[in-house]
Amino acid sequence: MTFSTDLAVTVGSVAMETPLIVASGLWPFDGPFWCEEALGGIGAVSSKGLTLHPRPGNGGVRVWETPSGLLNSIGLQNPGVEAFAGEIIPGLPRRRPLIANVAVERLDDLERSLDLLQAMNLPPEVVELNVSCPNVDGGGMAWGLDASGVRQVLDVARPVWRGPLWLKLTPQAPRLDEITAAAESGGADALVVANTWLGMAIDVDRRSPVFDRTFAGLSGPAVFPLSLRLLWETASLTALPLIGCGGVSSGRDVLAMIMAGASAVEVGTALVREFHAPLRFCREISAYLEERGLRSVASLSGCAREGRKERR
Amino acid sequence: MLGRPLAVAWQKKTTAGLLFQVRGRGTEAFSSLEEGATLEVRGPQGRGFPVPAGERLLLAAGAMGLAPLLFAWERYGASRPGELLLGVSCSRWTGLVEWLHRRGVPCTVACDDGSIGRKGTVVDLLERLIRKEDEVWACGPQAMMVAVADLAPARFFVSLEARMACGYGGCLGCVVPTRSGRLRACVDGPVFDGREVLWNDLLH
Ligand SMILES: Cc1cc2nc3c(=O)[nH]c(=O)nc-3n(C[C@H](O)[C@H](O)[C@H](O)COP(=O)(O)OP(=O)(O)OC[C@H]3O[C@@H](n4cnc5c(N)ncnc54)[C@H](O)[C@@H]3O)c2cc1C
Ligand SMILES: Cc1cc2nc3c(=O)[nH]c(=O)nc-3n(C[C@H](O)[C@H](O)[C@H](O)COP(=O)(O)O)c2cc1C
Ligand code: FES
Repeated sequence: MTFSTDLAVTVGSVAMETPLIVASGLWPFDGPFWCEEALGGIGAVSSKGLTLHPRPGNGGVRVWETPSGLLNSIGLQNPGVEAFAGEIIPGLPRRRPLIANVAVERLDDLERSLDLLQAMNLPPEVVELNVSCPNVDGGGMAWGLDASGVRQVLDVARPVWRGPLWLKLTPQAPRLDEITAAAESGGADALVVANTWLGMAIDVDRRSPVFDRTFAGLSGPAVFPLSLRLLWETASLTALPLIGCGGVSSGRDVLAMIMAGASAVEVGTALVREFHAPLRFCREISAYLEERGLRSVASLSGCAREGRKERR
Repeated sequence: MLGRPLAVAWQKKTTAGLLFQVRGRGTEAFSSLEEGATLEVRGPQGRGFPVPAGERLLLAAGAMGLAPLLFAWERYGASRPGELLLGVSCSRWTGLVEWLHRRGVPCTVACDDGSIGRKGTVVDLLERLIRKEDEVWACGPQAMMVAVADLAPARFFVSLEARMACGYGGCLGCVVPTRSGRLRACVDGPVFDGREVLWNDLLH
């Protein structure tokens, strides 16, 4: 993977060859996807949301197209941390930093999950705490809605997991200032801004909500301006490294997130439209840098904030 | 935003044929394509039907479920004992039936209101025909598939429809409940062993 300009970035201590991370929930555990051919343009991969025990996920309709967006209600279908750590990951090539997206159901399960990950021969490079899944009962997004939930989760996770610990926020949290303060004091190393936006759909032919759980998570280009705004606000509140996420669908979107203060960017729904989107984004970013004689994408981080009168 | 899953209905040298019904925005857009237009196609994806092994091969299609079974018929059916059965709802499907006849595909048709072929359903046709050693492949609406499953054919494969997002096995949007867990229609299917599918869970 070579580009004519420097696309390498770091998020805290985590170094990546490009600023693009595959967002959780979009990358299969099938071998061919972990080979160089499929990973073009990708700097790191976040796993499907993991729980201690396997989960079958939700019944009924799970995905629904909206104008420029995608509603999903997958419900954390996953093989469980034991299978992930013991069989799945050891059987796959490790060509990029691996981010284990760990969903929080119960605190004792979380502790056990992180123990299992920590004990791997080659643990994931990062744990991304998902306190923001809108599609499950009992935990999920509930942990990320207020500062006390965030603190409880970090107080359990931080002593167990010694590597970089990222916290994936939910846009549904009303007090961003309190959440970021709790993340800082709880020892998070970076924030992912953010998970999906709560939405819904009604099937007028059936005269009923599309999803069994009524509400679902909205992603895709429709949410990009919302995510960008949330990222901008978060960057005003904290000095923690930030990862932008939500609706990124071009190299310019990646640049916008970076200029707003992100160190790296996660890409999810764009892959659904165009599997090799990350490669295209990298080429677009590289061309942008080259045309302007800029040396690296990392040098642009936060540049759109300069001269703005704001806190921090 | 999303692609639309379609079966390959026939193949002739380097041309793949599609057969689709206009249902909404996506299929509407396909139907208004001009000759020479370019399409972005990903595929073929997933797993198809296995090589048939039963005494006779009976293909049961419900309406547009015909698409993958037409392909199967031209690949296997025409050269071995068996039948292609098609069930439709009303005379709106006359065009499709005539097209099949022009194509030289022998096909027994059942129609809910009796306006084409025999009055009844494709399951009625199958029930009258089926013998113990037959192999059945089916594609159609869920209620029809469940009724075919109830006939308990010795070898039984189904091509299932599920809403899809990614089409490459990543999003888990298209899963089908089976005895081996929830499997992805886009890469583990869309053809499944009909005896493995948990039909009651599918209908939820
Ligand atoms: C493996 C597979 C093969 C298929 N092969 C064919 C084919 O060869 N010919 C054909 O006509 N159709 C086929 N379908 C169904 C076809 O994909 C849908 O009709 C199509 O996606 C509808 O898109 P739309 O934008 O026109 O409709 P939308 O506006 O998205 O929806 C209109 C209606 O179509 C239904 N629908 C939407 N998506 C699907 C879906 N993925 N599967 C079933 N129903 C759906 C909705 O419930 C709704 O009632 C296949 C589906 C699958 C999963
Ligand atoms: C099908 C699907 C499954 C997802 N699964 C997860 C998950 O397991 N854990 C998680 O933290 N986020 C999950 N997400 C959210 C994405 O990781 C991402 O935060 C969100 O989709 C916004 O980014 P995007 O617009 O680029 O997709 C999922 C999103 C989709 C579309
Ligand atoms: S459509 Fe995404 S897994 Fe099948």
